[in-house]
Amino acid sequence: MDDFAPLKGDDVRRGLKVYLDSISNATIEVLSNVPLSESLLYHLNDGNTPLTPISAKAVGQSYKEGGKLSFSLRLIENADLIGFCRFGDVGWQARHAQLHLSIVEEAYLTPEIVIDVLQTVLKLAYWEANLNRIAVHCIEDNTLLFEALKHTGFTNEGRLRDDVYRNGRYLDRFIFSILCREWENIIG
Amino acid sequence: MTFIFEGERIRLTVVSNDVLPQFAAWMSDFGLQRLVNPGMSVPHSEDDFLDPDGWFQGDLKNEKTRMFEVRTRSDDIFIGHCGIVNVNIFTHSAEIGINLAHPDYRGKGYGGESMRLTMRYGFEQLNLNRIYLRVMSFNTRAIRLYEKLGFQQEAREREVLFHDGIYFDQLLMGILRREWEAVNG
Repeated sequence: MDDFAPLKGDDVRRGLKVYLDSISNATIEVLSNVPLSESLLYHLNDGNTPLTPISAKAVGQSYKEGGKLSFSLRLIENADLIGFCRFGDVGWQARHAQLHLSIVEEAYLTPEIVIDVLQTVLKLAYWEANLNRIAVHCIEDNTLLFEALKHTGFTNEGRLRDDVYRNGRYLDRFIFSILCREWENIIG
Repeated sequence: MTFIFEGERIRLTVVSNDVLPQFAAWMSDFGLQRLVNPGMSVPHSEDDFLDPDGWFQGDLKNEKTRMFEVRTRSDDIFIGHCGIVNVNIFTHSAEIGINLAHPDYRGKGYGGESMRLTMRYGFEQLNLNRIYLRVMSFNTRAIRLYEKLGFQQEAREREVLFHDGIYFDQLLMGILRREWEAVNG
């Protein structure tokens, strides 16, 4: 798949374009308090709560409070902060988790970046955290994420009908997942 | 119009602490836990259910929860719990759950009747648009019941459960208000 060919022993926090970093108070402090653009708000909203004019700083704060398995996303080329991700709903018995991902810089809301983030996170999840299954929820109008998940090898497990309410109408929510052995088969 | 909390053979009542020691004893049954508990199988004491800071009492106090006792109408025997949890007032959706723990009343149609009453409560009293549930893929009897009640399988979460050294799938099933109304007027 593309040029992504991780090897065991590589830095599990690094992808091709992005790397996972900690979330410190200083990390959040550099972010803007200005509400994000409309397209970013749609990208960030999980469909369980109404759209709210949230800022990048507030997004960072929520990820910081999300526990140890929360990370900031930075560009390898210049260390710029472009977003956050975290593992939620971790089930240690079946070794599964749900990935939450938020890009807060509009210029990086691109297939290339989102796919690289997914690949990097999967490497950490399977080769460091010893998980077996990673799930991602995707609202039906989030075409970018939908295509990125398919490209990365996620399986569409189904759609929860009318699970999201937005702009006066109901939308469906897709559940995607990829198992460790599936990901390892894909990356060879 | 019939009373919203009464069916043909059962009624839904407020949850009381009096029945919880018995409920804890039933819930420690390994076979029952396999069917109703997606997590780790553990023995239960009545403290698990009576602890004011525990998960069970916490659920009862939660505004997003409407939990009922299921009792027989003929002789007022407590046979289990049924209810609506995780109510989302924004999307008007909620999860439904049932646990008929009394061993003498399983597989005799009481579950279906309890579910129908609780679904009607969800759609007609809580004004829900969507009711969903989770069920383990190996619980075929429950899946058949849910399909009969109008739930559709919407997703199959692969390998999200782990019991006896084996991974199992979990099904997510849902029914929309318009589907409920098409059948129940």
